[in-house]
Formats: sequence, C-alpha cells, structure tokens
Amino acid sequence: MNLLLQLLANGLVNGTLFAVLAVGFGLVWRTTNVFHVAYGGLYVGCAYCFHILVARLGTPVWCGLLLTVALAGLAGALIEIGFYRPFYRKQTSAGAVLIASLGLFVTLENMIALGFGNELQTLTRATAPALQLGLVMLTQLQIVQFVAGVSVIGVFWLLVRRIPIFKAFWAIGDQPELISALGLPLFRLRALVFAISTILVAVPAALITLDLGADPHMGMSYLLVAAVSVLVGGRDSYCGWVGGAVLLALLQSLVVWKFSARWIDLVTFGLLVQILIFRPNGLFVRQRRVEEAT
Amino acid sequence: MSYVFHLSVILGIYLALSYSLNLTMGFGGLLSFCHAAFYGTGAYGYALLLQTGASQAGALAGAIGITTILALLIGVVSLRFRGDIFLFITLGFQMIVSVVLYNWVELTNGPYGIASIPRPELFGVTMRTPLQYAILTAAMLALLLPLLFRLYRSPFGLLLKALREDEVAAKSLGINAHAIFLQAFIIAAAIAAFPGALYASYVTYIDPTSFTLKESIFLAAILLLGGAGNRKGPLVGAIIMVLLPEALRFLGMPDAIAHNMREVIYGLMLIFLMYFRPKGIAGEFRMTQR
Repeated sequence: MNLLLQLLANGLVNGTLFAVLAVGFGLVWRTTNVFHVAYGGLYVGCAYCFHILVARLGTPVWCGLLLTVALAGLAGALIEIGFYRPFYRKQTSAGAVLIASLGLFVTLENMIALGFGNELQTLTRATAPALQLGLVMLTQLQIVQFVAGVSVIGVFWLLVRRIPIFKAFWAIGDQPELISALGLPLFRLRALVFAISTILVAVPAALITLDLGADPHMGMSYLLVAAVSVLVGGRDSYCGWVGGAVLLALLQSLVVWKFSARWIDLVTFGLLVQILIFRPNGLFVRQRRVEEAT
Repeated sequence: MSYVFHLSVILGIYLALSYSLNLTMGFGGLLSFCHAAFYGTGAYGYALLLQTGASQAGALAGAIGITTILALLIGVVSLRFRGDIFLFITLGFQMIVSVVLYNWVELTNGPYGIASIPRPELFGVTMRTPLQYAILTAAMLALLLPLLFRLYRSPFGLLLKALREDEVAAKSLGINAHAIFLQAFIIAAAIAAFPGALYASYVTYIDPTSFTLKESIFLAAILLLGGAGNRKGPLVGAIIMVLLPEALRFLGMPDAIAHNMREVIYGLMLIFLMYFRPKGIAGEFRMTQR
C-alpha cells in the first residue's frame, strides 16, 4: 500500500510537469490550429540551453532557469515570425504545416546532436535530500518540480481568466479573420502565443534536465506526452489539458505498480486509441450535440 | 562492387515499402504513420516462423497472413476516421506494436532481437553474397511492382483516387468508402511484409529499433519528398532518402556526423517543400490538402 501511495505521489509530481507541457502544446494547437511538432525540438533546445548555462558556464540553477525561460520566450516569438507566419500568410493547409513543423523538429534535434553529441548529458550533483511527508517520501527536487508546476499552471489559469487579451487567444482559434476586424493585432497575438508556449516548455525541460539529464533524442517522447494529454483531455478545454496530463501520469504510476515500467507506452497509447474511438472530443469536454458542431 | 549491391538491396527494400504505402497515402490520400509496424510484423513473423521449423515459403506466407490480420484489425478501427484523427490513431497503433515487439520478451526476445536468421535458399542455391541478394531483391520488385502498378491503374485505383478527391461525391455514386479504403490498407500492409522478410533474411538479425515510429515517419517522408499518387514519386523519394547519406560519406563526412547531417538535410527539405511545393518533387497530389 505504501508503495502505491509513493508511486501515486511520484505520478502527481510528473503529472504537474506533464500538465505544463500539455498547456504549452494545447495553447498553440487551440489558438493557431498548428499541430506544433517542433515543440519537441524546442523542449530539447531548452534542456540544452539550461544544461550549458548550469554545467558549462557555472550559472546558479535559479539564474539558469530564469535565463532559459527568457531565451525560450524570445525563441518562441522568433519561430512564429520566421517560420509559421510565412505559412499562415500563404494560407497553407494544416497538414502541410504539420509536416513542415515535423521538418523543423528533425532539423532542431539533429543540429543539437551535431553540436553536442548524441549521448546523454547529465548534471553532476549530490543526491538530493529526501523529505518524509506522512507516508510518502519525496526528494527536494520533486517538491520544487511540484511547486513550480502547480504555480505555473495556476498563474496561467488566472491570467487566462482575468486579463482580456488572453480571451483573444480563444477567439483566434475560433475566427482568426475576425481578429483584425476587431482591431486586435493578430500577428502580435500569434507571436505572444508562441512565446508563452515556449516559456511553458522551458520550465519542465529545465526541471527534468536537473533530474534526468538531457539527450538530443528525447524530444519526441515529451511531444507525445503533451499531445496525448491534450487529445485525451480534449482540445477545447484548459482544464481538460491539465486533467489529461495528470490522468496520464497517474495511470503510468499504476502501470508501474501493477505490471512494470516497460508497459508504460502501451497504456499511454492504448488510452489514446480508446479515447479517440469512443470520445474523440476528449474526456473533460462537454459532449456537444451534432447541431452545435461547426 | 559489393557495396553497390548492398545499396541496391536497401534501395529495393525501401522501394517496395514506399510503393506499397503509395497505395494508401498517395492514391487514398490517407496520411498514415504505421507502415513500419507492418514492415516489422513481416520481418518478425518470418523470422519467428522459421524458428518454429516452418519452410521458407511457409514462413513467408505466414508472415503475410499475420500482417494481413494485423492490418485488418488496425484498419477497421482507424478507418472510421479521416485526416488528423486517422493520423493520431495510426501513430498510436505504431507505438503499441513497437512496445509489444520490445517487451514481449518470451515471443520476440525483446530488445535483444532475433539473431542468426537462416539465409534463404532458392533453386538449390543459398543466398549469401550481396550480388545474390541484389538479384533476389530485383526478383521481389519484379513480382510486386507490376502488381502494384496494375492496381494503380485499375478501377480500384481510380475508386481510391475518387475517394481522395471528394469522398462525399464518391459515396453518392454508391462507392463503399470504408470497404475500399480497408482493402487498400490491407493490400499495402500485406505487400510491406515481403520487404520485411527480405530484410530479416538479409541482415540475419532483427531487433525492434528497426521498426519504430521514426521508421514510419521516414517512410512517410519518402512519399512527402518524392511525391505520391503516381509511379515516379516514390522512386524519386526513395533514391534521395536512401542515397543521400552515402553521398555525404563520399564527401568525406565521418559516419557519426553523416547520419545527423542527413536528418538535418531531410528536415530542411520537408520545410522548404511544404512551403514551395507541397505535392513533393514529382508528385501529382497534395497529400496535405485537408
């Protein structure tokens, strides 16, 4: 029983980080209709940026994290301006943008591999002190990860609810043509969306690198985690993205408890297939009537 | 010289794979990410059946049978959807097949793979040298490609094209979309089992890393780069994708870098093609129009 509780606690910690990843991914997908495959490449980029700052340049961890987040925001805006905007101006189909984004992902991943080698880079550090919280034991790093994840999700949720400009994000997803008619700067909003999304990927990328290290080929698995969370939770709901991610992480913990860590992917993608077949709108989205669908 | 024969074997395997995928992706217009799963099932089915003492012909037939059944199961479920959802479901099935190959150790020997797969024997000659394999590959292509080209031109191929261009209009003419797409999906998968078996017998060792999502994306990229929906596209794509790393090697690039460099070049090519020419270099159809 204690083992189950421990694994559920670990799952919850992973779940908050997955949730941040899912929010960054879902935000881009919902607002700009771009299936942002390059998100996985940006994850790797942020992880390496953080690793270089901390391991090679000797920046303190906090400083490294803040710098990575700042650079990530810049990189996100640049990717929208230099990469996705030409496709949008040309009115390319969503499928072509997906493939182009895949191309960007492959390019980023392999440029990083060319620059820093294909092998795993770890941050050497002493074993983190563990704290006993009731029945479960968490390392200091896990607590930092949990607090950071929850606060990012909470702050972002508050922003979405309280600041009008964020409401425009949802509007972009529904009617991009109307945005300019309403006098809102469509392209600046799009750049902002990508900047925020990349900031959101930078936080878990840095925190996971601190724990597990970074290698150039890990981007795809985190991209899949984010995409599966969003698809499972439902594309149209912020709470769905978070719920999907937490559900996924807890389910993975249960698999580790009941079977073995080897079968994690089977359950993840089994869940994805089940959801797509039986509830293609996602678990946490109110089912619409047929007449409501656009 | 044996280097050239080796390259032609690999090229032949990818030609068979991309021409079979062309049936669903090019003619049917269904962007799918699970072709490597069928390729892998063919390879594993062949190797495992040989281990149980089946004859070569029996093992090949069995591998095709297993792949067909798998394609039927995946196809029935995933072909209820089109576009993005179809893409994600096939991606999910590809991951599931990879996990099973990797972790069902009792059956597939997991990450250790299957070693010492016996060489094929044809007309009393055991295939050993790259030249013999090149001839075997050419024989396989001579068997499969005319069949596929006939399908491309047949009423069946035209039905697929009609469904690709306008599914609703095609259905209104009485075409059973689900049945036609399912048949194409199964035929493409069954044909992918041939190069799978050939690959297994050629390298005599297979492990799950050859049949991952990356491989599926690679196969889709061959068609996206070369173009799909005709006979030229897959040829152009396969030549570029298979021979590019070799060309880089001739430029004096070390192997370790050449692999990453090839990926960078193919990533950039995907980006530029999607912007300037979304139907691929020699394609006739924009696979990504929806």
